[in-house]
Parts: sequence; structure tokens; C-alpha cells
Amino acid sequence: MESDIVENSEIDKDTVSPEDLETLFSKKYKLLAETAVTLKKTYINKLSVSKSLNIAVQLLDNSIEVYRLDKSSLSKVCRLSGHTKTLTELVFSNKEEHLLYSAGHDGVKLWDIRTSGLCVQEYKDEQPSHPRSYECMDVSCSGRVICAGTETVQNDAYMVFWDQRKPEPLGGYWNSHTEDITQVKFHKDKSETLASGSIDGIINIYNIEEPTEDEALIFSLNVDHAVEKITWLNENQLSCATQSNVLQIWDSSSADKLQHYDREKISRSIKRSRADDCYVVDAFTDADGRVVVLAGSAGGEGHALRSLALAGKKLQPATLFAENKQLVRCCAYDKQRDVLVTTGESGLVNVWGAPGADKEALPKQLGKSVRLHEQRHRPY
Amino acid sequence: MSSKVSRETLYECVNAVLQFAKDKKRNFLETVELQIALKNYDTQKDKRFAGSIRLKYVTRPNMQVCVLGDQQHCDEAKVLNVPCMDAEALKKLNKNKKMVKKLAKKYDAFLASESLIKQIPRLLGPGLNKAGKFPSPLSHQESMSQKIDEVKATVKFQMKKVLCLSVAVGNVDMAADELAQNVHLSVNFLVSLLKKHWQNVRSLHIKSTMGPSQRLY
Repeated sequence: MESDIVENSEIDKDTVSPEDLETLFSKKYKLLAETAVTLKKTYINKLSVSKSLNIAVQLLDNSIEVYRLDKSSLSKVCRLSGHTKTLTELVFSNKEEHLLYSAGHDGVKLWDIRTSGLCVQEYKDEQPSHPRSYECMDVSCSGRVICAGTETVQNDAYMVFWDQRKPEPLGGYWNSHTEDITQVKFHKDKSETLASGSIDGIINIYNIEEPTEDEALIFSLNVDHAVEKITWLNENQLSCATQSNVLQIWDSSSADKLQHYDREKISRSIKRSRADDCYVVDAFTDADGRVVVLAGSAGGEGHALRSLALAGKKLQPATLFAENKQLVRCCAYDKQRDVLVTTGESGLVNVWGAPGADKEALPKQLGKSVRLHEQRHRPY
Repeated sequence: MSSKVSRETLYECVNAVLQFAKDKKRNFLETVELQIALKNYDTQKDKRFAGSIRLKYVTRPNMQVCVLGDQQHCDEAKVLNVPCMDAEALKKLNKNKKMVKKLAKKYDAFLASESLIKQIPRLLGPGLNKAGKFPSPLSHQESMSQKIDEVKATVKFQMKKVLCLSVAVGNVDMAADELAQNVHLSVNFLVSLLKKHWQNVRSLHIKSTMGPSQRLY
């Protein structure tokens, strides 16, 4: 006979002592800068960081704020308002760093963050009166092609393409996914290679230079879990974080699943006791060439944020972000400077770097920076 | 550890659902669904999630699974009386959209040998993707019949904009014990995905397709 359905009321905690944590998580990062975007509690769910370390974040009122990192403080560059519906993605152009793209349930826009931040382009759908609800977008490494993925509408999920110079779409794909498309990610060096991920549990790899969708689809990778984040790690590998907090690594040239790390393993590896509090943010390749996964725990105070280095089937402790104070939703890593930016559910923007980085790695102050509000380190 | 749904309540509800379906038999096999109403959750800003749960007992016994196999898998499939197609048979479809669509419609799910799965887009185009039936991988290290049972016991769930999750956890022909176990597993799994776990659960109900809901919590 089946037993009662019980609640696990154990509090999530570290499984090793603080001293052991210090020893195990040996790659040290410290908090270089922090800012709160508003005084009220808010979530920052979307983030993009440009090559020059401009940080764009989405606010819950669907506006965008851009910050610049000067030494150890974050100053606001501009505020971009224009989306009237949910904002779903922010992407800085790789080529022209003052250009920021945004996607939302009311279309795709392009902003110039210089001067006071203008919307310089609105990308149209084939039927401009019915803009699609975009869930994600990306820009190719050449800076020329934009792709945005939609929610399902009557069983169709679309990927729409534009040439960034023109508002009319180039075309689209609508046969390769059956549920909301949650991620579209261009390869970092090959502007014709694109990966898409969806709630249907599939990642598709395309060569968009082929004339039709059928010919463009190269591989379909069955992740078997709803896709949350896709990141290209290097030439032939991509990582997939799922909505069930699983991490997979795939080879995009052979369609092989290289690794699968389940939630229990990730939780054990970050040295926390409750696997069902563990969440995965994203993976990236760090300055040392290692693939690193950023994960945390929503349990206890909800502040545990740690990274693990992938070593075959093993996950080795990498960094303990001790000064973290929020549940982190996104991150962006700058490989050149070895700097990580995180944002999350307490509305904080955090910049992390190796100790000593603040002297060398960060952009020098360019002229006068406009401080629109006092820096607050304790927002509420 | 505090009890959220006692064993008594669980069985009361399961039995009530099964009894109602027996008393009023339909001409199709009714599905039993678990419905979770959420609270303290904002779909605009909190993480949305969707996925699948592998249950212990098969929920759709009549599910039609087809194996797209290499030689070894096709031989195995023939022994098990499981429909199968090899690379040659797939090539014969000539990437014809109508024929691929027909194939997709004929079966509820597909399994494919690891060697073949990579060739699917080349051989068939996105037709299986479009039907939401892209195959799951089948290796030579696992039992085919076990894998098929796994597929038949895997159910999808999705939370979109409304604060309610719905999952198929079985059918009205199942034994009470089996249904209870599937319900138990599903509840625990879904609660594990919620940030505040039980604090995000407003209520739990189970019901058969045509029957009234029974409140578990």
C-alpha cells in the first residue's frame, strides 16, 4: 500500500564545513561592484553584456536599463522605454557595441545606447498589425542577421529572421518545433550556424545559408526536457540547461550527447543538501579554457551561488560566490577580462572578478559618467 | 516531515475516481489527470517550467510505438512484434512531406537507434519534429521492451500563463495501487520543481476525463 504524501521540511544547507568550502572552491572571485536597479523588490530576468562591459538589464515594467562599469561602481548610462508588453530577451550587437536589441511580446526593437538611448529600428512581422510574441532572440556573430523565436500560436512556433539593416523579415522557419521556442543562439564564429531550443525538449541545429527550412535543419538533439538555456561553449560543443535543472553537453558536429548531469549530482557537487532546491543558471567556457556551470540553491536564505568545472563525468568545485544575496536568474561571462555578471530575483546586478582584476581588467572611465542615483548596497 | 496527503485520502480519491468510471462506463479509455493549482507564483516573473515525468506504471497501454532501427534493433523489434523501419525504408519515403506526415500520424511515439537518429533530418526532414514526435534514442545497452514501457509511462506537463498544472497520471483501468503510486510520484516531482515547494501549492485534485474532481489537498 502506498504511503502518505509528505512534505520534506528539512532546510537546505551546506554538506561540508565553511573551512572545507573555502578549500574546495579554490578559484576565487570577489564582488567587484553591485547595484540595485530600484528601491522596490524586483526581478531581473534578462541580461546582456557588451564587449566593453556595458550591462543591459530588463526591468519588470518592460523598460531596459544600461549600466557601465567604472572601476568598482556601476553607473547608469540610460533607460530605454518602449516595450508595452513582456520583454523577453536582450542582446548587444557583437560588432557595434552601442547597439542593443530587445525582443518581447510586442516585437523586436533596436536601440542606440549613446546619447539618451533611442529606439532606432522596429523589426516588423509579415503582418505588421499582428506582431508575434517573441520569447527569445539572438544576433549572428557578423552582426548582420537577427533571429527571434516565438510562442506557439495554433500549434506553430516560428523562428523569424531579419537583416538588421531592414525592418521587413527575410523569412522564417515553422516546422521544426511544436512548443514555445525558448532559445535561439547563433554560433560564436560561424554566422550561418544557429541552434534553437524549445519546451518540446528538442534542440535543432541549422545552417541558415540553405535555401529552405528542410535543407537548413542539420540535426535535432533530443534533450528530453524543456530547454531553458543554450550556450555555445566552443567550436563544436553546446550546453543546455533544462527547466528541470539538468545540464547536458552536446557535440553539434556529431549530434552526440557528451554529458548529462542531473539535479541531484549538481546539488551534491555544489555541496548542498536538498537537490530539489538546486537550480542551474548557465554554463560557459572560462578564461582558463574550462567549461564551468553556474548553479545555486533556492533553499535556506536562497543565497548559495557556486560554480563547478566540468571534468568528464565529474563536476569539480570551482568558485564560491560568498557575497551573493539573491536567487540568480542570468549570467554573462566576459572571457577576456575573466569577469562574470549576475542578476536575479532581488533586482541586484553583481559583477564578479578575480581579486586584483579591478585594477587591470576593467574599462577605464571614459569622460564623465552620469550618476543618476546614489549607489546603494542595501536596497531595502 | 509533515503529511500533506494522507494515505487514506489518497486512496479514497483514487477509489472514488475509479468507481465513478466503472459505474458510468464510456466507450473510450478515460485518462486520470492530476491538477495542481498554484499560489504565491507570478507567471510573468517567476520561472515557468514544463517537461515530462517518467511514472512507474504505464498510463497509455494502447500507445503505438515504432522503432526506427539499425539491423540489430529491427531484428529485436520483429521478435517483440513491435513495428519497425530501417534506414532503407526511411529513404524510400524520399523526404516526401505527405508520406512523412502520414508516418508521424500512424504512431504515437518513435524510438530510434543512436546511429539512425542523427540521420533523421537528412532522411525525413522536419516532419517528425512538426508532429511533436521526434524519436527518443535507443541504445544497444538497454532492453527495447523496457524502453517502450518507459515511453508509455512518460507524461508531459506544462505551465503556461495560468496558475494550474495538469498531468495525465493514469487511466481508469488501472489498479488503485498503481494509480496511487503514479499520483504520489507526480506530486513529489512537480513539487520539487516549485521554488517554494508546498508553499506554492494551493490545491490538488484528481479526476477522470468524464468524472468529477476529487480533492486530494
